[in-house]
Amino acid sequence: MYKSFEVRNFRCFWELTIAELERVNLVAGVNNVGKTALLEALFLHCGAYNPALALRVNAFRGIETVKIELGRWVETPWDSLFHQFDITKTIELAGENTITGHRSLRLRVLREPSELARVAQFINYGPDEAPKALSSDESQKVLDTSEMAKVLQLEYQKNGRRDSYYMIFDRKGVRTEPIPPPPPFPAFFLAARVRIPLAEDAERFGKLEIIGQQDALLKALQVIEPRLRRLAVVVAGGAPMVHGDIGLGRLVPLPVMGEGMARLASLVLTIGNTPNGVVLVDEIENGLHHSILPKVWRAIGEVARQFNTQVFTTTHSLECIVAAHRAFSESERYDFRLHRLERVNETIRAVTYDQETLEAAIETGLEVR
Amino acid sequence: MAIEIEQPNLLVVEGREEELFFEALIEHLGLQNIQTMPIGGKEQLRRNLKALVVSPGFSEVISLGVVRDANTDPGAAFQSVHDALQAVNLPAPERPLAPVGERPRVAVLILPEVSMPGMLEDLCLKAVVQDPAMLCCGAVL
Repeated sequence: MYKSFEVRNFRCFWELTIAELERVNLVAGVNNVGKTALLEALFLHCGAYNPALALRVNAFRGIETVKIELGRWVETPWDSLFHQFDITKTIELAGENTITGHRSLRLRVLREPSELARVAQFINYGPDEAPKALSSDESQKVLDTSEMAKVLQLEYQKNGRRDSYYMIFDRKGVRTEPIPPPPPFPAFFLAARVRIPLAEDAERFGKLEIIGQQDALLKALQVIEPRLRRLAVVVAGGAPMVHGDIGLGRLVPLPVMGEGMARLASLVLTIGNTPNGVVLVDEIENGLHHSILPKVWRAIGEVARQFNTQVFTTTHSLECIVAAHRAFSESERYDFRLHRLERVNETIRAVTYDQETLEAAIETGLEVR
Repeated sequence: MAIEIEQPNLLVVEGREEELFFEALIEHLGLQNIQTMPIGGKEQLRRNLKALVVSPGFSEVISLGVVRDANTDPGAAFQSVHDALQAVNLPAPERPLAPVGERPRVAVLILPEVSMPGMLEDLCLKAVVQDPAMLCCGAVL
């Protein structure tokens, strides 16, 4: 579980430190202040060794196509990750985590000839492009190599040990070299604009059944649908889907019971399939009526504790914040924090509310978003 | 509707009645850029100030006033405000009406007077003590 996290030169952040992280963290703030970017930074850090996640976070924002243009000075898909698109800087992500201790990642675009030479073994050259004894002129060497490939380096540091992995664009496409090991713990990112396919929910439910934890979903959904007695995966029309028994004499697909049920099911199934890991949810209130938000938060808290999962979410909704505060105030433990991102003098900072401060702000009606 | 910080000068008062009084006073005096905030209830002042200083826009606040009724003990009233300010790392004046600090500059006002027990209502009554209508009021009260 992350206790603190630092970001430098990433997206809109020149420098950001967020501390007092809890089991469930809700990130608020006005538009364009970096709520989604913070989740993306955490996602990259969770991935630990995999620079290809840099493309994944762009896909979460709907930027899915990558046009590779070599031989010209064009933007690469990762340029937008760098603060103010300045690829001469290094992105630094560092986190204190109870599982992995202190880990830091550095992402940088390789531009120097000596750096590119180190990854030359991984680059696929055209017939007449392999680096020969070019010339002793260093500038010539930079130009020739850069035209053949673009390289993003991810340097991983932990306990004094350093390893590097590279995302390479060249004539053969995009790939990561060397093949990165699996991340130290699982992480899922639920993007605001992406709805989890029903078949994927069904698969995750099946995984919970395999380990005998399927009742976690039943219990969570019963909070908003007390009639629910049983859940089952049914393959209909070739597609598996989670169905529920609410006493109608037949099973009912979850989405038919309502958007809230389907959304809560996706959240619970994702958390339940990320034991000891991190779930990142952008705009958690999407699809949820404000009246069920306290119940949703209670369910999220219980499942997150059960599977030892840490949750980071964003919201624009005051109702969502108040509901979370109320739900966690009434739960066995207030393992929840509200963090607001705000811009002050061209930098963005995180303001964290503990239980007492958030209670005071809500009681007095002070703005917290 | 949430209370947003909209002015660079804040006046923290105890409740709605104090808010109405000071808003009227500010308007009467033609003062600008002052926002009253009814969050200074004496039981929760420290906690509420803590929420105020983390509110969006507080970093833009230039000056902060805290108004508090003396009730039975003006010294104790001032001390409690002083302690609350200190607890949330705001400049804490050593005596009423003696502003200290920068961004925000902080001052404390104890009502009806620095060394007199009572409250805002006493100050209001004192202001109209010569008014003929007070004879009627006095009879009713």
